[in-house]
Amino acid sequence: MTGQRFRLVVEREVGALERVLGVARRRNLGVESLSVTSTDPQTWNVQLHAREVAPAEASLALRQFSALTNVRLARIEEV
Amino acid sequence: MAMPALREATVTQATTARGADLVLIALQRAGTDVVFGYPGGACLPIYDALPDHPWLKHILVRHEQGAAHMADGYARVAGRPGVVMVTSGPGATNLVTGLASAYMDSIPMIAITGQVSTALMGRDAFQETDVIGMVTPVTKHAFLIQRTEDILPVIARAFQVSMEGRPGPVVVDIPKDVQISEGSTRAGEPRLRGGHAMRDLDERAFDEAAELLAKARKPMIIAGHGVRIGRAHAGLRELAERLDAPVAMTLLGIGVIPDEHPLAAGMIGMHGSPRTNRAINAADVILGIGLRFDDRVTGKLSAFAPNAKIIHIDIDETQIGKNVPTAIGIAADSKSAIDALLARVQKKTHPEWRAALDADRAKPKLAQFEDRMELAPRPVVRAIREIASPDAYFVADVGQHQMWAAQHLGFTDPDRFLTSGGLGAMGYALPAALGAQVGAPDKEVWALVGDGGAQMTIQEIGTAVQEDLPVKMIILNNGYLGMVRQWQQLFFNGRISQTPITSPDYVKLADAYGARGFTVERRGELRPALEAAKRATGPVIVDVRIEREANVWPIVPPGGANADLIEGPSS
Ligand SMILES: Cc1ncc(C[n+]2csc(CCOP(=O)(O)OP(=O)(O)O)c2C)c(N)n1
Repeated sequence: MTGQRFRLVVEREVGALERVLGVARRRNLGVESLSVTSTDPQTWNVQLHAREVAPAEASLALRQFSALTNVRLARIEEV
Repeated sequence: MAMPALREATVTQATTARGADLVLIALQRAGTDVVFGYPGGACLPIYDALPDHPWLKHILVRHEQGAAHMADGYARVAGRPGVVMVTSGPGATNLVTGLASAYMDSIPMIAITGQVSTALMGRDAFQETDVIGMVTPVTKHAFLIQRTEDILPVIARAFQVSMEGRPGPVVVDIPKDVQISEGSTRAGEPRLRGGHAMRDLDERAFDEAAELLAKARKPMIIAGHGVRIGRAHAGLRELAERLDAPVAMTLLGIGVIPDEHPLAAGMIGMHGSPRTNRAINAADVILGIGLRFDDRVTGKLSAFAPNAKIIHIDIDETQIGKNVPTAIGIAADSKSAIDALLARVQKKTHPEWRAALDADRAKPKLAQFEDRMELAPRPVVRAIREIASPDAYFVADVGQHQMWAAQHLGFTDPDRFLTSGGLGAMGYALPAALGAQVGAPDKEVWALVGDGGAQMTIQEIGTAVQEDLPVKMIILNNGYLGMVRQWQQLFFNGRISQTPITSPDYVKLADAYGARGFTVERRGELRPALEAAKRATGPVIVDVRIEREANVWPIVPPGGANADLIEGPSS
């Protein structure tokens, strides 16, 4: 599989996952898969696999993820 | 025996309170003294608690959209978040336009929405809407409070989120049972979460920016709303003078540099000045501060500033590089950024560049057309400017009159012009003017409104009368949804479709509401009516029958390049 994988640590709060998906939709990331797991009661670990998007769009998406009030950490990995 | 002098008293304060009281205590702790609201079932407990908190002034609106626009106008004038309080379901749905407008224009706002009780949520209960789901795209953040003990910290946090970084609206949805149960009054400090504190300034990027500016031969600054919000106008002016760079302004940047300043280049974009748009086209370095380079500013993107390297500074990092390619992007608030640049740039002069710009002054083409009109838009706007006090606030609705206001009011102060710039929401002006009047009770507030937009929120005249707010609502009445009629005329082969619009008799309407009304049909009637509006101690409507088919000039055709603007009726 190619594309980008976004890894986020998101605070568990009503609406937090929707906000993440809102960014994915508006940046047209073309979500291939999404998984949410949890290691502690405060946060979710989100892995979002995006269809290949232009680097500029991916980096804008990353900045938009990090700007969300609930997101503690966001990074991007090429896969 | 005389009582000993009192040396110590123990004040017993309740340590618990109903959720409804906690909401109001949280507002008080955040420094709120006025809310714009409308009651209903799901926020009844808060309204029931309201009389016990007499320090809080509540302004009863006529429609929740009005409440949001009032909070917006209040926030712009008072410089702190406007607060709205409404019920669930229809109360919350009615808010959406006002939230979206505040979101686009970076206005701090707290909207408290009552919600059905937690046990009913998700059951399609009476007046239940998924508020979080509905407002998420148009707010900076939205909280659902599920436990009474969270009320104080969450509301404190909501204020913080609303104001930090790029300001914006935050919704706090509170179910009815949470408002009724008891919680501690001691809790308080918001849990500081997320890592969104401003990062350190990127010194190297500023060095590079200063270097680029030093090398520029045709520098230009574009100032947006961020310069006003960051209170950076004095520094901006100094920077412009230091760089000898003309300053173009976005619609919401208007006023950051006084109109009469030799470096003030006017508004950029779709209805901007031809001179400014041409200058942007010729510039070799553009310093954009506090704007997002939206399409109304850039015109056709691929043709925007083709000769320029762009330095983009914005507090919102997600704006940088989004719309225009940038040579240097810096995420910083406008004031720190301008200070950082001032510390780095030397005095420059660009006599040739300045002379070329000055030679390109717009020819006074419009005057000959205006003479044939009984009430042409420009002289009407100018008359309002002349009669209003110099420190008056002006609130424009959306449409042709908004552009005439932006073009002809002539601002010398950065904070006097309010309009729904990003969303372009008709119906904004009257309620926003009321909010502005609440925020600045001693100042004149003039709303300039079209006859279309006027009829969207005219009911707030009722609020103005009830609260005795002396706003001056000037309707530039052309019998059309003028801006759309203009597009039909210019870009849709003149086919007029659903743009003629009738109006009520505004004088009778004003009278029915208990306000004053005037009609102006002749030039000679204009000034006396405006003078009367100025003197009035309560709300006034002035219905000015302007030339019906006057157009806004210049105009960049939709999708066209800024350089291809149409300057006037003959070109
Ligand atoms: C809520 C809303 N609906 C529709 C529009 C689209 N629109 C933009 S300008 C305009 C016409 C405004 O007419 P009017 O209020 O009479 O002002 P004028 O343009 O004549 O000055 C319309 C319908 C809008 N901006 N906002």
